[in-house]
Amino acid sequence: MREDECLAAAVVLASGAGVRVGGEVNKVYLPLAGRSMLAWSLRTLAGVPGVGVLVLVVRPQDREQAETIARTELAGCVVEIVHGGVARQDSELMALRHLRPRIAAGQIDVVLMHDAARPLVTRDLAAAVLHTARRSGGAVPGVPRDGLLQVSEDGTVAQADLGTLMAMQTPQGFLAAPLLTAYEQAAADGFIGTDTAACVQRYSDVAVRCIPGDDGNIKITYPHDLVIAVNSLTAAQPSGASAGSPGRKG
Amino acid sequence: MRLRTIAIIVAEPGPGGPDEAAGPGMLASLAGQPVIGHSVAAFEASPLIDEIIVIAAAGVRALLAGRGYRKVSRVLDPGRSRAESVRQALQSLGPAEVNVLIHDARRALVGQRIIEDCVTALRARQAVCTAVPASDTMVAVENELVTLRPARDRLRRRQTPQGFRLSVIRRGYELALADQGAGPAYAGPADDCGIVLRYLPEVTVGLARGSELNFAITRPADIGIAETMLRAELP
Repeated sequence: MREDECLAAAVVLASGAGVRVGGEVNKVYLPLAGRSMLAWSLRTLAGVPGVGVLVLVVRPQDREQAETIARTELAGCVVEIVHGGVARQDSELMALRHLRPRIAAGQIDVVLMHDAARPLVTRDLAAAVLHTARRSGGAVPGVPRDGLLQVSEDGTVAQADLGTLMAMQTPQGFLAAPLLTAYEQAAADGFIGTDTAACVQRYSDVAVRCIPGDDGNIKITYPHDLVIAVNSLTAAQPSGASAGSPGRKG
Repeated sequence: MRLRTIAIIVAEPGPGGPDEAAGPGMLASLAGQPVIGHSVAAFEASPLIDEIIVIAAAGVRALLAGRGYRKVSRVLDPGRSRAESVRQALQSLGPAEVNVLIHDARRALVGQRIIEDCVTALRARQAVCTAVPASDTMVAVENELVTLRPARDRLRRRQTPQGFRLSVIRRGYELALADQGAGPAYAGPADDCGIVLRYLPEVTVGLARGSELNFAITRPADIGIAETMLRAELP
């Protein structure tokens, strides 16, 4: 099958509790500049050339709300809703198992894993991740961070300056078949990674390439992040391209 | 006996030097007060702080003079580097042992809780770094490929104030200077705890809890972010 006949699947993970920002409500359902937070990244990913499948992973108790959002805020997009697991990695595995027949049939060649708490992702960034994942096997966006130190077991400083490290963002993109195999193997071993790439690096030979991330692609973690996101989305062009760079610093 | 505690507030020009266009300067207005005024007011208000030394250019000196801060004993001219500025401030103190808290004025929203935690941690340690958890997954990258993955629960983002016994940080700076042999413009490890770890490995550097609010204001957009954070009343 030629590359341009294969489709990428974009998986948006919305199955964390995420109640630190908005109290009782799962933060990814909070309204943000006229739509729910998770609808922003779904819409953006739906518009990435080459993405043909959209999967939304939700908690069972949020399903009704997710279906309503898909119907009202994402009209015209086909959103496949999947129930997630307890941890992020379980949720990713559920999405991959849902896609398994199409991965096995060669209809889906790349999977983009995206955190619904990053509503400001741009189409350009997702397209760059997809492009690199197709060529190299794995792609993660990263932004440089200085001023990091390492602590030892007793809670004192072990190393004061780790130099520049890259803070991982999403979407992270991988060739679908080795990704699924890696996740099944990790589940069998009970291994939990901190992000998608951690699992891939442990259970496959796929090279994970770091591409330039976007300081504007913030993760909504604290209440003030919502305001920053609203300001950014309000200032953005109608195309959804992010204006400015609202990223938080250390 | 409680050691006397002196705050040294370093008001450096923005990352692009004195050019305000590169980022907000010390006199930029943040929630109705100049950036530098926030830090000075926080240390002034702390019952744990006995004296404040500010390292800043002339414009800041004039501003501070008009505000009647009781604890500000002197405003020193900046050196050619941050390290030189701090070393001069340390030299300006007498021989008696004291605690010093060195703070970057760009972290304008430092609050009482952070100052208190840093001073408290200094009771058990001779050097303390304020830090917050690294909320993102961090990796090292080589030739564009992700290589090392340091354990996230062991990573912290460095903040200020950083607290020291005066004798310890003074000695650290002396050794750093001697090591470099580069004269007073020595530019260093980028932070004071780094100097202690490198030149005084026998000294254990403790940790104090920082805050997301205590971030460094370096870009024009940071003023708006800081004001938003203030309204959101982060812990």
